[in-house]
Amino acid sequence: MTSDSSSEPHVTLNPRTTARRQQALDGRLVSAEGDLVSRRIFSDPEIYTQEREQIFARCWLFLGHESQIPEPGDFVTTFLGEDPVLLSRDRAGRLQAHLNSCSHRGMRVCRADMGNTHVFTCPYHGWKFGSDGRLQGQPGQKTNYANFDKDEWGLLPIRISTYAGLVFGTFDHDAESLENYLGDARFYLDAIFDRTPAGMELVGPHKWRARANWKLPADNQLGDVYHINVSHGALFKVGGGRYPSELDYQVNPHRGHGLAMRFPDAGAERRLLEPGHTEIDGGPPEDPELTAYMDDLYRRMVEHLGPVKARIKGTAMTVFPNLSILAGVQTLRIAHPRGATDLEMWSYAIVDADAPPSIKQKLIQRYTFQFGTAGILEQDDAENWQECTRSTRGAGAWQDVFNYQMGMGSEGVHAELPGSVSPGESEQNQRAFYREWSHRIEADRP
Amino acid sequence: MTDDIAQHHAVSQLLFHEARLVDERRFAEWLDLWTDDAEYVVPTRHNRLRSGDGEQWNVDDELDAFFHLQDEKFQMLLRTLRLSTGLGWAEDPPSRTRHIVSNVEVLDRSGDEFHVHSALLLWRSRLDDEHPELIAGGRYDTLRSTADGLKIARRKVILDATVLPLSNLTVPL
Repeated sequence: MTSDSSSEPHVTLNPRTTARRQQALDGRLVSAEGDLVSRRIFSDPEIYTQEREQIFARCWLFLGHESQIPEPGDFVTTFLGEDPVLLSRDRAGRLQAHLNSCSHRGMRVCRADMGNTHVFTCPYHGWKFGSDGRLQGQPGQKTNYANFDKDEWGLLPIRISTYAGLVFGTFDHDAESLENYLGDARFYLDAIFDRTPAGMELVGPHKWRARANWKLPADNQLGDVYHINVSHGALFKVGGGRYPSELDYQVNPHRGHGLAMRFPDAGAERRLLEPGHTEIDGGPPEDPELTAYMDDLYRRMVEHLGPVKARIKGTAMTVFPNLSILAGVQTLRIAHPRGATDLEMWSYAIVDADAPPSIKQKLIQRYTFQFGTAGILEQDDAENWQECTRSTRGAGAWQDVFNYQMGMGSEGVHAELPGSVSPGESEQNQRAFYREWSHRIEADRP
Repeated sequence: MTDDIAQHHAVSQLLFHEARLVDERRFAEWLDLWTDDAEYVVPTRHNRLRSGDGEQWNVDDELDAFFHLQDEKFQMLLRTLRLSTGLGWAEDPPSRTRHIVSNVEVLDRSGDEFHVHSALLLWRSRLDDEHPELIAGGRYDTLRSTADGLKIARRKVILDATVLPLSNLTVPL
């Protein structure tokens, strides 16, 4: 007779828990409504390989802003996903984007972050490329290459298109137009990047690495109003008060793009018109010069944008897949993926191009205090995204889902705002984001 | 010579003491080491072309353009208060840090102020993470003799990374 010393504890497992979550997905990674999302998509290298091909090589991705390269020969280097990109202005003043990798052996042709030149010489074998990406020549071209057509051997061109000074690029030369891709997201981008005739300029960026899946910052900056009072609780404890989330709307203007914002009535409380969260976070004391500037800016915005767009305030927005803008704190950022569980954040300050230098300096300093590498708000976000990612790595977690059910059924319309509009504390935008993700990743699944 | 040794000793002791206060998370005492008009900046670094068509790269311009951190005493106070709330999740549970301060060199003295360079290596171990974070930089400090002793009036930290290998910068450098 054998004795069985093993036993299960006498607790009643909720039989609904695991089964219900799994059944709801019905073999997919994202439920039809987008309200349940498999944790697997935040850590599975195979899914990331699919994302590289079906999202990062197909979507319109943010490359830069025209203000970064105003003069012929100006260039910046950046990335489309993990592909290095050279964004330049050629001798004719046209924007150009190419794979920053020699057409001969793949060496990164330009290893500077920015600068001005019309000649990029590959350090490996000396192939020379112009600011238009064309091959100008290489050592031994006449003597060692028979029937060589140098026009065929420029850097790999990337299709580019701009909106409100923002430069987007895609490897998909058959992709729909950028205007179609953005849809009504353009309405909200206008309120940020076209708020005065002079437009905005980018300063920076801050760059840092985090061990987090790229979708977590995108998902948060789509307008996760819900997290503010908890994740950033330290700030409210120091400054007093709380974030007035009841004043926010969440808006899903088009496909996977989404934003949260405040939309005060015309002539409403002036404090809502100020940059940042200064009214609630115990930030620097009120600055008369900045207040006067913001009051004047509002007047100019009404004149330039009309009274509706001018009232859009405090926007937190993600343009699918990985461009985010926190307009209230003057920042634009892109989460470049670095594998399934790592990202490289590039976070820029955005300021009015025609603002006086002292105002630009104050806006940048405010951004730097709140967001960016050392930002007192950004710090806690990075901790969340890393730990969320870490907890999705195990096979056990892959049986589970994330819950995006908040505010289901609260979606509606607003007479003045395009898109689906819900109260701020909603996850309609996240549901739309993951439906778009699913459309691109698992369209062929049952 | 004796004055130089005493001066170097005073400067080094202040910097070593400061490092220990931060590593022991005695942030209120740390803040008291700074003058009321303190400025504390950490510029971003860039990779630039060594030479381009007419490009003149001035490293001083790079170090005075855009900052990871750009604080005056008010912002420094808010940061230390944040760390004491128990709700600043990026440092709660607290990280374990070690500030290794070395290469202390008094560059010059003008009136009651010393200009000092030191090298910093910051080690941060967060939670049970298997990857401790490590960052190095040079610090240009202005130290001032005051009635309350030697204090830090200005610090510029020249980091040796363009992409910070840190998920966030939560403790003083």
